[in-house]
Amino acid sequence: MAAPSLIMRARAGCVLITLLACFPGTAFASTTSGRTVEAYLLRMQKMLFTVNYRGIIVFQHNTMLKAIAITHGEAPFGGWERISTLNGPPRELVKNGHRLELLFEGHPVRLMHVLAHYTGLPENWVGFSGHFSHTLLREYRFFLLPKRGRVADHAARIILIRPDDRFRYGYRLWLDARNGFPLRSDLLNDRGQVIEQMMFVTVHWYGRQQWHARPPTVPRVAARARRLAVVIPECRFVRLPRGFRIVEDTTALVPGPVRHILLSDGLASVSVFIHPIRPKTPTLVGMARMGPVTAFGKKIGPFSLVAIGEVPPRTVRWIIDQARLVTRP
Amino acid sequence: MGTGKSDENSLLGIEMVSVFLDGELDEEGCERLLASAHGDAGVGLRLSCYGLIREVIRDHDWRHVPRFAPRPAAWHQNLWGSFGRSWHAFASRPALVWAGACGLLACTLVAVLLLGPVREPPGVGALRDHVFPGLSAHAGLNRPEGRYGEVRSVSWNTPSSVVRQQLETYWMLHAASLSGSQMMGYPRMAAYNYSVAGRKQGWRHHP
Repeated sequence: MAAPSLIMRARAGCVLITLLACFPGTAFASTTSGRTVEAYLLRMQKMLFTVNYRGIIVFQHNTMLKAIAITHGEAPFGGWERISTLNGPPRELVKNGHRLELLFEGHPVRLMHVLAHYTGLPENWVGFSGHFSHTLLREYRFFLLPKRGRVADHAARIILIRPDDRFRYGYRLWLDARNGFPLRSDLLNDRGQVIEQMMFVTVHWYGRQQWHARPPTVPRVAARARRLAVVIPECRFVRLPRGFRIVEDTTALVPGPVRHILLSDGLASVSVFIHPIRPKTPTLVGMARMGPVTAFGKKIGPFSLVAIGEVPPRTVRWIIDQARLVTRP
Repeated sequence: MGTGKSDENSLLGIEMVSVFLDGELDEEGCERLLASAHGDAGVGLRLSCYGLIREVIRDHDWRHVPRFAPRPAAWHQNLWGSFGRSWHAFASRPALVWAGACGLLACTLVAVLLLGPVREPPGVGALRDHVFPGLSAHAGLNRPEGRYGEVRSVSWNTPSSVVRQQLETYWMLHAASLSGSQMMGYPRMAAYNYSVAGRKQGWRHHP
């Protein structure tokens, strides 16, 4: 019995090597299982949007370790979520559709109210479900690893997403082997080192009949009919990192007018905020970061530009350095 | 052997040496000339001449004489020779040795700090944050690129509360605009959101 097994493995190895040489990005996907990487990721995307679930996530970055309870209910406009921290300072984040509120020890955080004025979900957001196979495969390489894992007592398939340049981070995902639900996510830097980890410790999915949780009530903030006194100029970018493009360009009130330009390559995303400089009010100049989230700020004339996103520092700096404000008469 | 004889012998020796070095008299001729001297005078003359020959050869730039010209050394002999001379000159001066050792140590330290492994032992970041709260545990204190990229910095400061709040607002707008498309974006928001609680954690700033 051993000899045929060895021959089979040798054959499989030859096929793998051949396919890897021909299709470096997706070779593993088409050989190690009947399902491709794309199929797994699309299933994951579908699960995130269509399934009710409840679980506990462990979140680790550097020396920070957080346990977070999450309840997600499916509903129109992106569903609802209740997220609360289980260690450290108690805080709760509730989201229902477009509305989002952060509660700290029972008190809502004031700045979150500005989100009520925000236009909501961008309609042309690409994400995993949009131009996945056409755009992401140019900037990332996807590997369905032959090794199998186990997370939260569920068998998992491991997907490695490796960027082709140093302008974005990589990912290693553990997806449920049966339904594609993301059970664990590692964020990788350009050297392949883990810089942030999230993992479900327990997770339970519920069908519609079994789901009795009610969505949280997020208070509506009275809309302020306020005309924008300041016209914020358009922003053009001379040259963006490869694959990045503008997917959203809106104006929000926080409470003053702020132009919000969302750039994405389909997986990584960066927001550029442009606001008029107010006297005696400091604004970000230089680099700042919070975990793997980086921000870079710069003043151009009477406006301040701030880029923020979960990308390496060089990306936000590049984007701001390539920004040009265009004032139309 | 009298003084006059000695001087005479010396003069003869000098003449012989000059003839010898000019190539007019070879070794055999020199020996024959010396052997033709008789008695004590001959012995004195011989000794004198040999001594003079040695002195002149030692002091004279004799390398231009074809028979004494050094053979071209092999490249490795040259290399080793020059290295040996340099090393001898270096090692014979303790101050130089110490300076060299210190320089080497400094270069090694700089190389390790700048190019060394990014991963740090567990607990070091927390300890540093505890001892130096103004410095980030992962801010590239001793690395050229920090942990995440090309930011060459020495320290990351906690931004002012206004800037921090601005960053929080923008971060939340960013996360909210991504909504469900961003995998687990909200748990990250909940985990990282320190500054709104008034704690001097979370955002680190390098102006």
